[in-house]
Amino acid sequence: MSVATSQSRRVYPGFDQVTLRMLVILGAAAAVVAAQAAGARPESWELGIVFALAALTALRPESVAGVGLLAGAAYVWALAPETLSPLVLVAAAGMILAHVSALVAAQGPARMAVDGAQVRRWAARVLLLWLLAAVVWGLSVAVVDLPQLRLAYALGLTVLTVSALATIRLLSRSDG
Amino acid sequence: MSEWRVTGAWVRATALAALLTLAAVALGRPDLLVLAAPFGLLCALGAAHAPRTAVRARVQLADHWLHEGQSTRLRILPAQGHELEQVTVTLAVPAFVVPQPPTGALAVTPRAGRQAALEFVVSPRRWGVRSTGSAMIGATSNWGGYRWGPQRLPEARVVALPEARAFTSGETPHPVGLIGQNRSRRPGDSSEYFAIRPFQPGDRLRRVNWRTTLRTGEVHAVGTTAQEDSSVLLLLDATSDVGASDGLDGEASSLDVGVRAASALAAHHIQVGDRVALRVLGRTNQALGPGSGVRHQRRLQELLAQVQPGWPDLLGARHLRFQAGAGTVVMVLSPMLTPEVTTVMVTLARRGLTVVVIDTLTPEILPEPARNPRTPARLAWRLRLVERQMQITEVNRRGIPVVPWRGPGTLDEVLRRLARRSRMPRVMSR
Repeated sequence: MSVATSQSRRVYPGFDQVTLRMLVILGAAAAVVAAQAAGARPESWELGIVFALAALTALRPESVAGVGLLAGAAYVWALAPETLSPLVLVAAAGMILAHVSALVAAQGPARMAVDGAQVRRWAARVLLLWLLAAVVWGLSVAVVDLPQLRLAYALGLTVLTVSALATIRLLSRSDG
Repeated sequence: MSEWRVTGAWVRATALAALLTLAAVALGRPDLLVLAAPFGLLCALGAAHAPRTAVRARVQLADHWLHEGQSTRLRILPAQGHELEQVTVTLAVPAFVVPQPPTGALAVTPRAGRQAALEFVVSPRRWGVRSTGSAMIGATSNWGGYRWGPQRLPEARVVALPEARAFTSGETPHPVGLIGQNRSRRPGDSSEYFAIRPFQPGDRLRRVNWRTTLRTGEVHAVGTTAQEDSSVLLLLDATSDVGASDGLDGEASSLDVGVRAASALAAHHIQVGDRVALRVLGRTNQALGPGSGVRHQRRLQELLAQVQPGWPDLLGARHLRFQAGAGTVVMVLSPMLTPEVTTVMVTLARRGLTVVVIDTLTPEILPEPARNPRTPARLAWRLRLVERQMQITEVNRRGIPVVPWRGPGTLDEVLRRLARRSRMPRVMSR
């Protein structure tokens, strides 16, 4: 006879979570716009797929759709005729923003309030990652006119790997 | 047992870095290397910070005993912090428990040298033994490379004592003890005025009423009655629970009314120095002998918090033994839907005990089918309510008053009438 009725509580994602998920779409849009500004002319269905993947990643940030989104954004950039346009840094910023926003959003359920300390920490990391992209772009611009381009590639990759290892070492020490 | 697993973000960064680096080399496009570099670094840093130790956490509840509506702190304390970038806890709360924050999810960024703690505030909204909810913990390693969990943590339990609303009532009809606040029939030394009577040996001089003495020419003194405690047995009918219960914030079922009324009655009678006993007729069959004092009141509330509705193993006047001596006032809290409970009341009344029934089934408690004329259950409920009315008539015929629970003052009139009746001579069947 007893009917135990629990309180009906509907909890919706907060403004911070919505903002974070909107940044995923905004990052993808920035990458696509930068590619188009650099001369890329993707088909509309290709753009449709990229934005559909962006929406899916915003809804499910832990899903495999994120790989498709970033690969799609990189493909759209690859359609640009100018290989070393400075706009590649805008595209890189957009892709990093989309990736990191999805990463932070995936750290808990959608209804969870985003931790401010995490946002600040990842904002600094986004800047670091973008600076790395800028360094690589600068090196690329410097070596693109060299006669031995393939040698430059090999050297560049080696330098990048060594730099990455050194950075990891340094950051691991500072964290520990 | 959970373990560390790579995150979707790490897989995404690794796949993209590998894909773009290959494409950059194969197509001779250095711009693709610009796009690949940040993701390559993320992949490498995530892998470099692979954690080695398992995540352990303790659950701490600040208070294990509360009154319904009160709140306490539930703390989740992760054991190790230096390998963790973020710890997330979600709390799936059961019915009648409200968490704060209402999302039931919290995240914290551990800092070096500090104990990370995630703190929820939980509030039970209905009496009873309640779980504070099932907590799941998850953790992310530095640079978001690995994730632990979600892993279930042990549940904490809280005993929500029934709310004891402010309650006052008249004096009980048969004070039989030594000290208390009920007026006795025998004279004694107290402040309760009884009569002005001729002076007797033993009267104190300050009791002399000089005005009457001067008028009559004989020494008169103010006579007072003794004040004694009385014995009260609370009999809670938990064989059925009718109506929906929404906790403190919403509707109350018949058992909610019964338990809260019993708690209020116990608090009142213990406060005035009476001895209170409890007997629950339900699945749990709690019984507590007469006693007084704050500790006894706490024990009564604890037992009331553990009441569960249901049919007891043996329910009948022959099988039940009540710790009710002569002069005990039996207060039955019942929705008057079980004939066996009615038989018990009548048996107690025939033993010469004063029985009062507090009706816990008010019209607003009736469930929706009983009120909606379109449902087939309406007819069943009508029959049930007719049976209930017959039981009420029967107990009234036996001299047992039935009063609905209205909070303070519920029993004033009925106790006054019973006190008056107890002073009259009566014939008892043996």
